[in-house]
Amino acid sequence: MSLLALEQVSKTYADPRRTAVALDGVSLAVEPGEIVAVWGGRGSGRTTLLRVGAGLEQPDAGRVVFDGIDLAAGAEAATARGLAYVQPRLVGPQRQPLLDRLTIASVARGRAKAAARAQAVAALERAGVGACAEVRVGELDAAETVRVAIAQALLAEPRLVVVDEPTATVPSIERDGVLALLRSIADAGVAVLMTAGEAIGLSGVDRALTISAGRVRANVAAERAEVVALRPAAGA
Amino acid sequence: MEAEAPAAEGPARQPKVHYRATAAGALAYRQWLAERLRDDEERIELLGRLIAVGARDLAALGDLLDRYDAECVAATQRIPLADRSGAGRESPAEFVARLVAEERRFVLEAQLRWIDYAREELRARAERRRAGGAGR
Repeated sequence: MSLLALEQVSKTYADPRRTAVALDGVSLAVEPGEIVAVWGGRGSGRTTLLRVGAGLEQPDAGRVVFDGIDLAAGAEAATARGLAYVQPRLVGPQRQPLLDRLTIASVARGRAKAAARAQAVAALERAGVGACAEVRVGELDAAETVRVAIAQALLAEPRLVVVDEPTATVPSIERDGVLALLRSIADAGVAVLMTAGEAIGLSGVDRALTISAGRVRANVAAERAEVVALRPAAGA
Repeated sequence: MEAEAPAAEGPARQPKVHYRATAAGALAYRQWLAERLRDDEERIELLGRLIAVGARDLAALGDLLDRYDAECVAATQRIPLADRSGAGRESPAEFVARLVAEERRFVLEAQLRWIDYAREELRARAERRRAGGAGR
């Protein structure tokens, strides 16, 4: 059983002037430790696919199953079972100290403040932004903001991280680093599902898809290279 | 690239500098040439088919776009993420090899965007046909 499965999912938005097909019979599976990227142009349905996959929106037809539960139950059920949705922008008070932002939910649930701060600092270091621990939210640059948003998701110890366009706001020469972070998270066993507006988002992923007018077109699995030992093992 | 400056023959003459590619630089250049030529052959063949087949058969045109799409996606997927952690210390050959890989990725992105655009045009044309419009 896949960690996340979208089965023949369709979704349409309509207003008095027109009807727009966002998803048209989309099927997709994400396995543990796999990084899957969906590339598409504006209005292709890529973000809808992500939001439906995270349980944030309900499909008109088909079903979405995460860890064995139907996400018709809503996003809360998915969150409780380890799905973290990353919005790579930090909304809310921009003058708030970053550590307060990252620990407030944990402290509200009864965790000791010192323990919550230690966990947040560890997550920031894991995301490559340990030096940002003492700054305010509004002082982060674009790449730091995305990394902090990912760190925030890691606090929940997720099994699947869903990220909408992680590199859209990041300067070109810093995109590889953000994507390498997501790759390392997948290599540690946490699945990643993300959208990509730039081709770089497809580089090095385990499965790359393209979507157009709500339909998945390309669906390409990476060719996995066989690992060949350079030297015989000791005793061989 | 390495520079060699032979001993000057006289005080009034500028030393003549001869540049020679390093082994790593030469290898990166040959790989780049091979990759570009292979890509261009596939691309020319595919665009030729688009023109030959697509003018009369929109379904076949859509199939060719799907094939082009899958090839571009697979090629993009194969380009590894650049490791910029040693960006200040990498040799000129490594630096140029990284830039060349990035050029390839930008080209593939442009191809993917063109495929997306072509599909939109195809859909619009099919809708006009269904509505009984012109352009057969």
